[in-house]
Amino acid sequence: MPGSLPSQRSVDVAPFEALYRATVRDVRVYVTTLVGANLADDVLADSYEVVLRRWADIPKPFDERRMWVFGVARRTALASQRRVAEARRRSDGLVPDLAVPDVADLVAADDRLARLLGALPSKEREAMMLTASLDLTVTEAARVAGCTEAAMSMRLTRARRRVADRLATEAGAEMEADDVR
Amino acid sequence: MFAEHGRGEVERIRALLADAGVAFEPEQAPSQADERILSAVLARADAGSAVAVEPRRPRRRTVLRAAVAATAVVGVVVGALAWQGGGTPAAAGTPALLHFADADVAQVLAGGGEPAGAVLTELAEVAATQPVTAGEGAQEVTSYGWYLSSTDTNGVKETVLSPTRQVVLLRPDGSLRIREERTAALDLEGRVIDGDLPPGGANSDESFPTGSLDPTRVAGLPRDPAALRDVLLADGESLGCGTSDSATAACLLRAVIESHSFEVVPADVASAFWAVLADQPDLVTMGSTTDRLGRRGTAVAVRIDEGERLLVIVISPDDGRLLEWDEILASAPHLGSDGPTVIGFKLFESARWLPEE
Repeated sequence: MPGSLPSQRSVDVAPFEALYRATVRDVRVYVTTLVGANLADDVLADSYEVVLRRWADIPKPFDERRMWVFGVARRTALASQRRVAEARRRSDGLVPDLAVPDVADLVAADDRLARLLGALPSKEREAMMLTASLDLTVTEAARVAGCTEAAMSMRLTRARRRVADRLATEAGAEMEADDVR
Repeated sequence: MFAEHGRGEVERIRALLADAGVAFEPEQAPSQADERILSAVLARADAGSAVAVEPRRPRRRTVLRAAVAATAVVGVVVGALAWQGGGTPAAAGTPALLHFADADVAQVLAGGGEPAGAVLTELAEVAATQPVTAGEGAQEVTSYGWYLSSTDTNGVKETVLSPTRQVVLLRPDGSLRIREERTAALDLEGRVIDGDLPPGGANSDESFPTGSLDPTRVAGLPRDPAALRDVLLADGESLGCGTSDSATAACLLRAVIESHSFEVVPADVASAFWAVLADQPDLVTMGSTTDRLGRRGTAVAVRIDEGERLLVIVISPDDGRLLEWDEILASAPHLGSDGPTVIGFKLFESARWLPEE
């Protein structure tokens, strides 16, 4: 059954604006991790539209609200990915794959971190971003990612091992380069 | 808890990065692009742009909220994840996997297995032949499960299995009482080690006020599979249901399990549950089995998180009742296991109406 966005007459948008400004940077980082910078703006707009439409339903505590927004953003991002994939399939690959995360976009200040994140499988990258970067607890990250705490914990373990391996490889390569010099 | 282990991993990741001089991007204020998006969202809201959205049904939402709260209370059993990380288990070994006639758990976790559609359709037909009992009064659901926990006393780590019996009483006014009896725990080699528990074990008894759950929710579910599927998925919308075929299958399976946790499930609703699941391509058949109470069963399963876990349910081929669920990790190095490992199970012993309550 069709519904509609609440109008400003029925919803005080000030709390929504406050939530938006308090969360949008982190949600942008997360969304970019999932779908890349090309789709991030559209996903953000669609996600916050859902938040505003469902304002009466969402939890009141800020941390709960923040997590709820992450959850909406994730589902919106995944839906966008599916649409892009379907468009590519129908066009026999002529439509460019816009939903490829470009981690350099979100950690441009640090190329090494971009490389480290880029080398991780998507689920491990997501786990690392949600927790180590965006400060969600493991429980919150698991809820956002739609998995159990056990699965989230395992993803973090694997991510940590891969990061450690890559850092060790980089350190070894630097030592070799120093020896050559 | 896994959360504690995960928290440790987060700290280790941060320490690794810090040692290497790598930092995440510092927190920033919203950009101009962010402000433009905000304006666009508000403008659309102001214009009342039509967006197709299924209206929420207050009764169901209330139920869901209450169910989540109640599930959290019984999480020690249902979640079966009370293991606390950071130490080595006292000994290797967890409850044995059930024996499944038609499938190997490792192969199913790896993506093998045959679709369960035909099996579930048969089970739906079996359930449909059972008498539908519409009771009055309170509903009592008795179950048995276990949870795994570890303690650290002066550096001595101990991992135990704590069998727990649970009785849930849901009254007509929606108030809820959950009684749990934890019997003496066993260590991973099967020895009784909770010697200081009182006779009968440790008990908990918690009550929830009027209106905590809708006692007519399950009885009021649609019998038409398509309509029932919509209801179950809508209830799980906020949990990410529908993001993929496997996520949808897992959501539906959890919804079915939850429906059995608090209320008596009429046979025609059980039949509709299995009919809904029969249309899920990601459910695989595990074949016949015997549950942990020795009852004859037919098992189906869904892979979760791309094969990190398997959720198995066992259904009676005699009357179509849900008998048991098992959750299996592909591997659990924290528990000293490199292969498929049962991390929780729950047996539904009985569900009945108590008119006098």
